[in-house]
Amino acid sequence: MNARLLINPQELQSNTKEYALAHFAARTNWHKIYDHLPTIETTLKDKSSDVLREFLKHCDTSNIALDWTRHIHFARWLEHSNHAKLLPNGLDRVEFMAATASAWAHDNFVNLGFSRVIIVDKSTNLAVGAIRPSSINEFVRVVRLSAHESNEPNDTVAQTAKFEYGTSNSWEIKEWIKL
Amino acid sequence: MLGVNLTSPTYLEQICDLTATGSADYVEILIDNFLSCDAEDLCDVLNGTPVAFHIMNSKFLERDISDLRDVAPIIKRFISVCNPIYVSDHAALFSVDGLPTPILRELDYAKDGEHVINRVATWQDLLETKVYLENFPSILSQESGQPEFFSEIISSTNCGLLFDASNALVAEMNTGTAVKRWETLLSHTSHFHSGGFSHIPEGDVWIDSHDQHLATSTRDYLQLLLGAQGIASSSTTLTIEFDHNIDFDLWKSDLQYVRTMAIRDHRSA
Repeated sequence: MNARLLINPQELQSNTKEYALAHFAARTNWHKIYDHLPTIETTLKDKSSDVLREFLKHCDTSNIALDWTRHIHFARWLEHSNHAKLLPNGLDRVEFMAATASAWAHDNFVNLGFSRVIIVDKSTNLAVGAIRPSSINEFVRVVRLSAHESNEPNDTVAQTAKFEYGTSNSWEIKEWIKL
Repeated sequence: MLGVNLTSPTYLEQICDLTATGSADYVEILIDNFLSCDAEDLCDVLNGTPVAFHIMNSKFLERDISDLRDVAPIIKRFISVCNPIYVSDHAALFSVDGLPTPILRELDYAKDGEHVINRVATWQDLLETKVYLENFPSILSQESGQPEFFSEIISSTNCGLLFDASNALVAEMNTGTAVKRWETLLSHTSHFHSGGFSHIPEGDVWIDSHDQHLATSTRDYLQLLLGAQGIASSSTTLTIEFDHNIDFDLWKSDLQYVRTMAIRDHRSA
């Protein structure tokens, strides 16, 4: 079996083990994406699988890694896809940023030694943070932060998002990295 | 010893209850999810309950060695403080062409041997401990067998086998790899896993889903494997895994069944 089919389950004969495996992988991706985007999932309803399939195909073609940054890639793609019209209230970027921050905090192998991440959209000055737990009985905390300082204009939510992130052990970020 | 797995703080209270009431003897911690925590705090919260460490996302077969060197001291710190019964990891792949896959990918047993041997040796060196590798719940058949592959890895690296009985059954149902082929390796391991699995009718595939109680076939196989000695021996461990749709009554029922296996075995003899 071509292992790329685990990323993008296309053109498989149904009722085979390969088909079942690839679609189990796709179903896992569905949950990895939509479980953290309740508003988007509710809005897309029964279109959610079709939208995801197109997104997975786009990621496969463009070699996009669906790691902890997966929701940022999904936001960027969805905002410019034909499916954007399915979202009457537009894209709630905060929901995508919160999902991304949460995924970062849950993957302890990323940015080892740092306890906090901030995700910003410099086009709107929206900012979301997440904190990794320091105790076994604590949960990852995701917080909406006050407007991030930026020289970018923030009066046009419709313009293209400019996502960046920074990590630290406080809320002071020394280096911003483009997402 | 009989164990239960802890993957997040969500069920910490109930897991602690399982050990406090004697249903389980130890907690197998998915240590990946707690690496940001304080190691001493982890021991304090579990109040002296023995622990084992299971590693899921080290990706030690694929991650850059320099990154493994960075993470190893953190895991070693937990090992040093918590003194786990065993440390286990997965002989599986997490990506293709550098892109993450949403589910684990099985090794190619005909081609991957040398790389796996090198990486297992490196990972054990970095962690300064024996690592027990869990067998894979195969879905697709391969010409080269998984039991024979594990045998080679174990003899070359002196790593351990964390034998997941339900994974072996899943592999047998999906690929025809008879569980009997693991027999010669089993005399060398004392650490076992089991969990619930589910069926996907389209394609007739069994998935290691950990979303239900142990199947009858798993219970029977465990009876065969461990019935005579049971889990009474302090050096033998069996972790019953439950990850999704957790039903604590069903979990307790599985634990109770396994707990009394040895008694039933003696009576039937």
